[in-house]
Amino acid sequence: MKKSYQAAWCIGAIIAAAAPKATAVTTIATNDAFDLAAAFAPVPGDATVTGNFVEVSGASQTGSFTDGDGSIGFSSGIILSTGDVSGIGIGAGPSLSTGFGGTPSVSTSSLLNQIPGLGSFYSDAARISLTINPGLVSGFVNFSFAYLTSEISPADKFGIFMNGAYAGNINGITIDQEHPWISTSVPDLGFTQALYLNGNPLNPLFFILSLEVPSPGVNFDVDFVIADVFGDGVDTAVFLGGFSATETALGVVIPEPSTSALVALAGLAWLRRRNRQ
Amino acid sequence: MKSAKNVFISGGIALTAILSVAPTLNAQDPGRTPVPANRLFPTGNVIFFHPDGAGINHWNTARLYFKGPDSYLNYDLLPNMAVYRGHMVNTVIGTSNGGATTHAFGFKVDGYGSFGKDGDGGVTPPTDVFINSLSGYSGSIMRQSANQGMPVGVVNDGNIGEPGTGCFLAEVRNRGNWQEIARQMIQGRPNFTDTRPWVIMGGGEADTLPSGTTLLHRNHNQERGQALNSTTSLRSDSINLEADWDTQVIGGLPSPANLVNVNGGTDIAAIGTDNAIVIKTRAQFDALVTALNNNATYAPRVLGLFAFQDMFNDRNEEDLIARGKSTADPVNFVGPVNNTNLGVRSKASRIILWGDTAGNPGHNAPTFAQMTDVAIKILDRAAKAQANVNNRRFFLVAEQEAVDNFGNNDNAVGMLHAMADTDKAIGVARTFQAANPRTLILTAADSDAGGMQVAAPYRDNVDGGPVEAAGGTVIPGPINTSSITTNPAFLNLGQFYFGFNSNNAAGSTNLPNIADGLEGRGQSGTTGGTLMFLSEPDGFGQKMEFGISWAGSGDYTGGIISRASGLNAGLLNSVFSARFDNIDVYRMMHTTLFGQLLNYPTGVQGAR
Repeated sequence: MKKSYQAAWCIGAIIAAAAPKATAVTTIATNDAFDLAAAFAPVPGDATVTGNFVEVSGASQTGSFTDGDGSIGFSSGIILSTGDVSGIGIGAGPSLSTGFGGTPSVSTSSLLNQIPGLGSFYSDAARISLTINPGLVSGFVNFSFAYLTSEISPADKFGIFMNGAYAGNINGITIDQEHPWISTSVPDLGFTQALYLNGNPLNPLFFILSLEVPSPGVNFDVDFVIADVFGDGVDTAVFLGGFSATETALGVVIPEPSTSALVALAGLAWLRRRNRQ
Repeated sequence: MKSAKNVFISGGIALTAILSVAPTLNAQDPGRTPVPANRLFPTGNVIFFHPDGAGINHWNTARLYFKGPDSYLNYDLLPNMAVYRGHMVNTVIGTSNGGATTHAFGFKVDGYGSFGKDGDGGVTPPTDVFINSLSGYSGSIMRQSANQGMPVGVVNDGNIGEPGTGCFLAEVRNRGNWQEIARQMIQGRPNFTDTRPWVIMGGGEADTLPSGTTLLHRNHNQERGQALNSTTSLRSDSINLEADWDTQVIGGLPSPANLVNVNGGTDIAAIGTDNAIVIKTRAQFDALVTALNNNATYAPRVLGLFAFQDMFNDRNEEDLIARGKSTADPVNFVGPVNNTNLGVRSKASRIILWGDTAGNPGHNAPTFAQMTDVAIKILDRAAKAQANVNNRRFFLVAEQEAVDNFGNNDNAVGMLHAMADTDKAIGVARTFQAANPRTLILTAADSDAGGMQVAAPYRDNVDGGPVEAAGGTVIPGPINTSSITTNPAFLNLGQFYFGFNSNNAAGSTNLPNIADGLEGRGQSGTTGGTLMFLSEPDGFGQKMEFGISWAGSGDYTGGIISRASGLNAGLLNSVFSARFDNIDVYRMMHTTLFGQLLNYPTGVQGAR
């Protein structure tokens, strides 16, 4: 399966920035969904991004960042962390580990449960809910994405959800809890201590992800959710930014979950028909 | 037989399919789903418009008349919407006082007597009890906001103590307690140390000066059971609320006692230097506007009292004309004076719908939109000056009572102009919001006043071709309202009249004809009717005629659409798409002011 992940993400790997010189990222902790939406989509163009709400266990689990070019790979955006975003980039220690201990809401847990993987005991979940109006022309919304962690096997859970459904199907493969971008078995794509060394994100791979617009001109909700699994220590963070809406995809395409479900169901029906023959 | 490979693939696809279907809680009615305590919503300003009595029928008609059937109002440009439900604990129709109490406190209450409390203190035995708001605070959402330090304000083109604004600041036994409502709005509630509102503007001078005091404004609408044109204060005590406002202590220091309202003397020059003022006339209001424009940080506490009771003249058209509330001013009115005049029909009415006649202090009072503009400007400045960052947002409740009261008097042209005024105020708010996106604009009426409907003539009633000399083609030809013949039954239920020949204003007479035109239905005893309303051009460039008929003069359940834009406005189309009621108005405002969407209190009444 890891090999498949590698193939699925090869486009992203190509897109990933050449490692620039690492410089400190600047973070500002905030759980204000309005400010976070503005940081995620500073110039949305025809599309609009509305920040609905944030759910966190600790007040400093979400925030915005700037000066990310030399470390994250893109200049600015937002952070969701299972720990304290204020610790990122300041060399706080060999690894980041802040435990707030809170359990997520039922609704957030139900989202996390859609991500295939081990464990359903979550803590230190951070979630931002956005509503995107893609405009009438755009077929895709794109954003930059980077994942940094000090935890592996089992990894913390992170998921993207469109209208409440897990958008983890890429190139026909459902991404599970053991994300390909932290896989130890994939050379150059995997987790190393350097990614979060002393709390400093160093040269993570970043991808441009492109969500397929479900229906032109129709609002859809996007939730980004991250959570600790099996314990609230040792942190993971995702960096998101550079939102845009375009007619064609700028990055790795994530199809609309309902579409992927229909494709899968159609495939299942086809297999059943074939098996009857 | 399945191959092992096929089993694996089909199993994997099935898993994918299952995982791709989102499980959601109460997806059909998310507004009643318990809200996680750790869910944080963005906070900002709240501008709540309460166009009292405005159903979607009123909005549709205002659009026809002022913009054209293919155009749009500012109201139409509020992108989020939901159907509003206004029922109370004991009546399916939202009442002004019960609805406003629910908007202010987040609990359904007795619809008949509640005013900032639940129950009626005017019945035997009294049933009124104090209640906390849904947040648990001992007072309304406006009291909670103000006492936390946010600037708050109310604007009403009726008496400031009309329920739509009064229930946010006063807790009294019954809506008839005008004196105490005014006192609490200005001085605070008994046994509480309430922070005053920053802005209060509307009518209601009758309740703000000591007993026996001669007022600036006269009772030209014969209200409150008082003699026509009386100018005596209706307070029964020696409290001078205007002096109290004018000299209030702000920041530990008393405001200069300029008393710009002194009857017969206008210290307009003081406006611009005084930080707590009372204004009562157009001249003083304009001086305030000038002072605000000349000083970008000037944000005085303003008490505006522009009428004895209401700023509008809520009688039917015929009665207003009979009482001399009309003008032949050719600048402001060009059009039919009688049924035979087929000249260009002006949107301006010759009927004086707001304010006193020329030469009196209450003449040409500020409009609702103008008061809203000033209130937003002042509250925004005050909010941005707050030391505590959590209080740098404001809360304004703006009620256009005239929509309801003109509707309750079956005054179509008055209702239409009230709608236009409200729409201008929404435009003012939208302009502010464009520069201050952390702002929620929310509209909600609580009932449908008069149950108005548009009535258009049938083809066989057309008695002429296109004749309008200027302004485009008229389809069909101009006729008057007497040609609209559907006639509902008349039913007198005491407080309100259902059907026609109704008129509940003191001293006015019954009227003929089914539909209102430009000047109502025609004079008593005649069947002549008046010229019909003329729409603005449609997409084909055509203007079309219509009359306005009424279900009666009461408040009806009707069809009310709440619209919103800006911060958290999307809740209308998501969380509240299946159900949005008067409690949810409170919940949306609380969400934006305090960052928390509180759980809906299903089957729970308030208590303190």
